[in-house]
Formats: sequence, C-alpha cells, structure tokens
Amino acid sequence: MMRITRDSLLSGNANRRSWMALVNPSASELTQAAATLDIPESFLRKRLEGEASRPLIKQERLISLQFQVPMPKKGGTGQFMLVPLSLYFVPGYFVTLSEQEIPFLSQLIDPQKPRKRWELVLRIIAEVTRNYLPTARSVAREMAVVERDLRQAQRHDVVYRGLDINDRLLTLDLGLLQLEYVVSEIGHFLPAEDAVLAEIHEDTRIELSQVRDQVDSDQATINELLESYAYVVHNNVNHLFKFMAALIILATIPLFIPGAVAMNVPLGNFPHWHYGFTVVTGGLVLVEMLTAWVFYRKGWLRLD
Amino acid sequence: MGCQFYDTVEDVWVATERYTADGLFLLMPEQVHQCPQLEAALQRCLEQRLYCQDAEITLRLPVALLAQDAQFGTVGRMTHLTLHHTPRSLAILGEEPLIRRLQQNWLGELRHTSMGELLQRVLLSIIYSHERVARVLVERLQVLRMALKTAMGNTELRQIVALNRDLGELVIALRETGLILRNALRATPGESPVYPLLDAALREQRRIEDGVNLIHERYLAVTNAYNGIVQNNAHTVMKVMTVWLALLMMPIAFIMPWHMMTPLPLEHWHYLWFGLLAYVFGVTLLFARWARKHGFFSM
Repeated sequence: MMRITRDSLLSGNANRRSWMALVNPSASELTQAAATLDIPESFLRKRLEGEASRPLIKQERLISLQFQVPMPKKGGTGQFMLVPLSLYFVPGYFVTLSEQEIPFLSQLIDPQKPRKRWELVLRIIAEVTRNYLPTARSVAREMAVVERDLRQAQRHDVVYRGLDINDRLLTLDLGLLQLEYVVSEIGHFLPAEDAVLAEIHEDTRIELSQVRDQVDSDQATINELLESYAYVVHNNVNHLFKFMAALIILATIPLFIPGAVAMNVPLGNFPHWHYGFTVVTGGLVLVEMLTAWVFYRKGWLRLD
Repeated sequence: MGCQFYDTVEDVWVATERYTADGLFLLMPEQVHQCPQLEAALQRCLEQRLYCQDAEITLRLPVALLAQDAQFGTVGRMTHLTLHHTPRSLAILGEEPLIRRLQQNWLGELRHTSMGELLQRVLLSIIYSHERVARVLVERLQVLRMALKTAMGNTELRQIVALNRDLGELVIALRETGLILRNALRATPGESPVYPLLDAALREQRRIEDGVNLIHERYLAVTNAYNGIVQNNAHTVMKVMTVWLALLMMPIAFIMPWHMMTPLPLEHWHYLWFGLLAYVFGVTLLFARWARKHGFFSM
C-alpha cells in the first residue's frame, strides 16, 4: 500500500514535506515510489528484502535509517516479531517503509502540527524504544511460569522454554543494539544550535540505554538460571530414583526371609509347625515396616 | 577462473592475462606472479596485514565462509581477501569461491562507480560475511538443540561445541578486521577521499562485532543447559528401566511367603494357584497405575 499525506513535516529550512507511507508495497508500487522520489528502486527493495546494509546511510540526495520495531503477535503473551522500519529523507518527501502498518506513525506525523524532521525521527525512535520495554517485560515474566512448572518437571521441556525465552531476549537485545547505533549516529546530524533537539536526543539515548540494561539484566538472569533449571529437573528425576531404589530394597527383603524357609534342605520340625507361616510372615512384615520407617525418616520414601 | 577485469565501457567482466594497474581486477593467489606491480605490496601485506604507501593501500582481511565438514556438518571457515587500492585501481585477491561470490552479489551495476565506492562495497561485504555466517551457525545450533531432545550420545553436543567455537572465531576475525581498519585509518590522511569510506567501514565493523559478540556470548552461556538436557534423556531411560525392575520385583516379593516349607494358609483350596497369581499381579497392577499417574513411565 502506498499513501501520500501532503505537508506533514518540516524540513531543515522549514519547508513543508509530504509523508509517503509504503506498507508492504507491491512491485508496481515500489517502482512508482522510486520514480516519484527519484531514487534507485534497489534502495527500497533491498531494505524490504532484509539484505545486510548499514542502518544509517547518508548520500547526496538521501538519508536512510533502518531499525526494528517490536510488534506483539496475536494469541501469545510474550510472543512478538521485529518489523524492520526504514525511514528516508529525500527532497520533498519523508518516506516510511515497512512490511506491516506501524500504528503509532500516523499519531506522530500530524499535518495539523508538523514537526521538524529530526525531531520527528527522534520521537519515532523514542516510541519504538517504549515498545521494547513492555515486550521485554512480558517475555521476562514467562520465567515465573517456567519456575512454577519446575517443581514437578521431570523432563527438559522447561529448559527448552527457558532457552526460547533466552532467544527472544537476544532478538530484542540485537534490535536495541541496532537502534542504539542509529541514535548514536543521528547525533552527528543534529543542528548543534538546537537545544531542544539535543535534549530529546539525550532523553532518547538514556531511555534506550535503560531498556537495554533491563533486557541485558533479564537475559543474564535467565542464562544463569538455565543451568539451575536443568539441575532442578535432574533432582526431580533423582527423587524418583531414590524412591524406586528404596522400593526395590523393600521388595528384596521377602526374597531372603521366606526364602530361608523355602530351601530344599532338612529344616527340622519347621515344616510341620502350625504357626510357622504366621511367625515368618509376621517377622517379614515387622522387618519391612521397620525398614520402611527408617527409609521414610531419612526421606527416601518421599516424592516431593 | 582466470584474472578478471571489469570493462566500464561495455559494462562486462572480461578475462585478462595481466594486471595493468588501472581499473577493477579480480585475481586468485596463483596469478599474483603475473603482476610484478602487485607482488611486492602483497608480500609486505602478507606479513603485516596492512601496507600503505602514498595513496596506495593494501589490506589483508579475514573473510568468513561456510564449509561442509564430514564430522561436524556445516561449519564456519576463515579465509583471507587481499585488497590493493589506488585512486585509479582496485585489485581483489582471494580464493575462487570467494571471488565468485563477490562478483555475483556485490560487484554489479559498476559503470558509474568510483574505485573508492568499490573499496567500500568490498569492505562491507567482508564485514557482513561474518554476520551471514553467524546467522547460519545460529540456525544450525537451533536445529541441533532440538535434536538434543532425544539424544543420549555426544554427537550433537560435540557439534554444538564446534559451532560455538566457530562463533568465537568470527568474533576474533571481526576484531582483527577492526584492528586492520583502524590502523589503515590512522595511516590515511584526513583529506584523502578514502578516509570517510574507511571510517564508515570501521563503524559498521564495530556494530557487527557488537552483534556477533552478543550472539556468541548468549549462546555460549547456555551450553551447560544442553549438557543437562542430554543427561536428562539418559536419566529418563534409567527411570523407566528402574520402574520396570521394581514392577518385576513386586510379584516375586508378594508370592515368596507361599514358597515356605510350612503349612500355608488356604493350601487346600483348589484355586489357590490362580488366587495367588491374581493377588500378586493385582497388587503389581495397582502399583503400576499409581506409578503411571506420577509420571514414572513418561519418556
């Protein structure tokens, strides 16, 4: 989709510029946009195809920026996708290019109150940074669910869930790293005399740094915890081993107590003694109960 | 593949016998002896990785490639690309697959491109090669990680260790690239047209190094969890075998009192044998149901 909104922002010399929004554009729309903007079509296409390129390119007639915007996936808490958003400044136009509609763009770009171009870019970046924060929080909150399931877990599924959280936090961290680079590079382009812009830039930089610190901290925590998760699962399984070994010992006792009276050798009067069965079985039950009590006291017959 | 020269008039690559020190050339190591102008600079660069004289710069930079290993599958491989740049020429020297890839992916639409821009393109392609290989290694790492779900041997773990090591090699190679670019920047006068290109390449190298380093650190940190997964697989099998052992022990244990050479209860009952079998297997079955409910059999 290609949409042009006239007089949406102000250039460096206060001239009004139009906003061209390209959302998942078709091949013909890309060609049309490239012709309107008078730039090579490959500039737009390569960004959409996700080819490796510099996040900030400055050329004679063009400035291009690219960063990733976290967008929540429907139906899954903590699930998200990073949508690459490219911004272009070309004479007469400000272009946004993405595969999905970025909802906050139309709120920030208001023809009634046109902003200066770098202010607009910084406001967009600040909004993107704010989007990272709840996404990172919702991912990190999943750790609590994993920890709750750890108590009973006998298999490594919880470890895999932890690894998945680790991967998602890494994706967010890489997105933030790119954004941090863009913000740092933008600093070179800002007009030195504009104190307001310098302040917005500094605020954005600090906010970004805080979000990154938080993601780093969450990731460091889960990195450290993952090994412990594996040990907790081991321990759960080891509890079963311990319980079962105790049970096997208890099941072995009847092999030698009644077994002693089952030998094919002369047993004296024992085979004719009327209470033989009761006495031996009673003794067996007594030994079993005593052993089970000792095991229970030592915690070998507990499963929790 | 022989020495290639880019004909800007016809906009095509042509095979050529020799390096003429004007234009864009692609060469392989065995062709260097045909180019006496290049040989001395390349010889010096081989030792120092960077050689600058007047407006000439020769750089020897590490490039990451993917390779197939019989034991470990897809792995990263390091090779080198040597660039000899003068204001009027750029000679690129490297292994054939590397040169071919560069020609296909990075050296198109060259008619109006200056030697400086070409140098920057090649430098960026070298820097991005590490990121591309890192992404493939991470994808492979994730596949191996899923294969660990049922693994009890060390095959997957050893492959993961090799991939982690390859990721570490990428970080080291990127650092080496950064060092060479920084030295090249120091040796280049600020007013030289090459200076901003090297500066941009160096900043991009730092960004990519940060990213690849982050990926390497994060994946390396969770390696111990993989050990836990493999151990858990072995433990699970042992757990199920132990519960079966306990199940086999139970009928023996419950029937043992009726082996005694004493007067036995119900010994004259005609169906005692059936009754005892029903009793011991009944008790065992009850235990099996309880064990199943508590996940003793779950694999």
